[in-house]
Amino acid sequence: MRNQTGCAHCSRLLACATLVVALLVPFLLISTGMSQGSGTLVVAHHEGFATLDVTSSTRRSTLGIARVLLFDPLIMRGSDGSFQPGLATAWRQIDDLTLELDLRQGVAFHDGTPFTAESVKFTIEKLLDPNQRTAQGFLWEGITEVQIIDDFQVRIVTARPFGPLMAHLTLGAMLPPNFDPEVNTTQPNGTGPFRFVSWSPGEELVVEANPDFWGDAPGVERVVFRPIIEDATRIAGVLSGDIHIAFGVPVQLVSVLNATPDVDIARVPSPITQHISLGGDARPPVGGDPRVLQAIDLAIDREALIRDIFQGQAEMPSSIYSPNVFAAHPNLPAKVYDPDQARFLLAEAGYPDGFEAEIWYTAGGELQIADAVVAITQQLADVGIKLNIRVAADWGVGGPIINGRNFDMYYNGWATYTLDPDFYVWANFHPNARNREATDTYEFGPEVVSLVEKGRFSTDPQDRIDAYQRLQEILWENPTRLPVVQPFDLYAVHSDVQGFTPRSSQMWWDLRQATLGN
Amino acid sequence: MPFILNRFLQMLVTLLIMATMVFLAIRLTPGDPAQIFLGDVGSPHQYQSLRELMGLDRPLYVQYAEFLQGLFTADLGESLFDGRPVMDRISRRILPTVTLALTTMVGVVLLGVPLGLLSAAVPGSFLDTVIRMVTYSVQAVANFWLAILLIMFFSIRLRWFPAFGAGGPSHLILPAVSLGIPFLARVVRFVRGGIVEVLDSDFVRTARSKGLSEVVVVTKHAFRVTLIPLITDLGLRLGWLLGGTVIIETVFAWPGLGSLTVEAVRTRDYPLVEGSVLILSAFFLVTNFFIDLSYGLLDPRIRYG
Repeated sequence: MRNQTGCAHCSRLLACATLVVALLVPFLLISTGMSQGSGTLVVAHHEGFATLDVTSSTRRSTLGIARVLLFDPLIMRGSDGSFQPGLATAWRQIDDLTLELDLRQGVAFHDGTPFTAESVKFTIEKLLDPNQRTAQGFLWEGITEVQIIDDFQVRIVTARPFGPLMAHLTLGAMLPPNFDPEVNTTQPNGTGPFRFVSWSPGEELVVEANPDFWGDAPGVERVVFRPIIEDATRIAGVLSGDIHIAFGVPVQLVSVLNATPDVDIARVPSPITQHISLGGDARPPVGGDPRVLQAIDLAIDREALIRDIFQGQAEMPSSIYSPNVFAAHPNLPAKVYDPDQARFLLAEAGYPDGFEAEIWYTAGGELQIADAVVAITQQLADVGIKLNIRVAADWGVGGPIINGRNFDMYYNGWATYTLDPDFYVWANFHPNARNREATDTYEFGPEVVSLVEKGRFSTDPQDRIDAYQRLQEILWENPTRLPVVQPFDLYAVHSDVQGFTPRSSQMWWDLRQATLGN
Repeated sequence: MPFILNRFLQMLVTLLIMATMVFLAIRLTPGDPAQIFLGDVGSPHQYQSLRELMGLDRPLYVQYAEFLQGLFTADLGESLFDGRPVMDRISRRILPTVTLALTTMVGVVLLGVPLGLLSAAVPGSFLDTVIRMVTYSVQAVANFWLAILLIMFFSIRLRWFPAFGAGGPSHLILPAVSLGIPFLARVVRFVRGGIVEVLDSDFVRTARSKGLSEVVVVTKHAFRVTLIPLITDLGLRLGWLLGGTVIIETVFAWPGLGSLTVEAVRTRDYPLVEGSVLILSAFFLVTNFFIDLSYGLLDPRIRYG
């Protein structure tokens, strides 16, 4: 008996010991975090990388950060939005269908493979391959062929003249012909200013300065990128000095950061314009009668929204899309707030006592969206329109509601990341767009469609400007979406950092010039 | 060992039912993975070919058959978005989640059991009152709120511990404390309640009358009675810790399974959702399996037939 008890003790001791060892193992296996030298820039964003295959995803993390750090496009954008030489040093439109590019010589990929015309052909053909899982197909769909003239000259041929081609090329990344999907989707090999060091999904991406970079050497030795979804934590990282630059500062934390001596806020107009989509003809009374639409437009007090909800971190919308997008109209009449006129128009349209309708938004975005919807509901109640708020749990739920037009009003936004209007107007106002259901039916006046087509199928910049500005005038007067506010993108930047200027397209984190002081 | 075999088979059946439920639930949730991946742009042609690449154009029963076949060969399939094996993505996330859960559990037991014993030793004493008051009040604290307070105080003010990420042991402290505090209160109350309940019973009186010290009576005799319900509760809690750390993982940017699962649901990456939920369920079932087995060790009267 005694002996048996002893044995039970033994086995319990053994069990305890095993448990202790089991607990220690993970400590030993997890590597020891960030090695923050003086030349290491730590940046944080609210989106994780699902993949480092920069030709597959259109996420801001993959396309806007990993691509810009590790790869180069053929054509770049200057900070003023102009087209600048990238891996192509010069380009010319030979005819309406052909763009000829001279390629930069003496450039090598991080593994030493030289960059040549083969890379261009390989990359674009890979993206056009229907067996490629990519969300970037829209960037390249106009292209039919890449012709190699010699090692450093190529021609890109399109089926029809393709106006947005140059803008789309700035979002590309050139891959080496020896690209191996097994290896290079997790260990990218590009020509960019930084080269890949390591990636722990959900935790960090580490890159180091590329000593053989063809352009100016980057200002820091290393960049550590950390995805931190939670706003409060990301900002806490900036306050504690662990993070140098954080994207996505929530408006409600701006005052906290402004009161912190070591942190500055950099801001730039977002490519996203927040608007209310309208259900259209099928959803009266909001749709159908232009007077009702105008009444809603007049009943929204945008200045109050900007002041009280966005706390000054947004502007009055100047057009249907962001002012930094190509051909943005510079002088459309400002939106006015006139509830009396709104009531008058409603009465004229046959709704002297107003009506009831639904307004949707998608949860999970910035807090201001929910607040703005509540505020708009109150503003419209003043003119007799009673809005019932409906919430979609995420975009997966909201998408089918929008595409099926099962709503009266939907508060959302459209990000014109390419900074070319085609990205927005084709998807929303052309009958052949994929989201055909999503496009409104009543704005398809023949003039709208022809202007959308003229913008896409013309390679002459002035023709495109004329077409898009006329289109903006039409859609400003007869809204199918009511632009609400033009928010700013906010970045928290530690005072150690110099030379970081945020870009309006969220697809370009310009860290080349950033340096660390002290 | 027919009992063990029996329990093991039960576990497999439960897993199979879970797998089927997850398979259906995620597919019945509104949202089309191809649509989400492409965003709002692209041609109808690109959308169609992406759906074919993802295998979403096939009938549901074909997809289900393939899913089951994969399960029996321990293949969780491939991510819809990058075509990489789901197991690769998941396996990198298991260690951080398990580390955090076990650290929390060990910390809670090491602190909670002695506190419970102290509290129970002289019920109604000043010490007992203080311990009970503190534990009742912290049990009501929401852990995400506590997490943010801890970050404000220990990361920003004092700069003792990092606010985010995984790394050395210092990264573990704040998330483990956030997870553990409300749970600690539960353990203290569990231990105290169990002991106080039996302090008047015959076997305790016998132990006292043998001349044993009060310390021995409480720790060896009375405490032993609470062990089985305590271990059962801890086991369930461990399962909860492994699967329910999503919010804390998000707050601390902890690269664990919880945040991966949320991400997978958001993008409707069906195989990734199925894989991570299955792994989490497996954790839960295996923990419970071992808890069942531990009863025999803790209480010699229990025999498995």
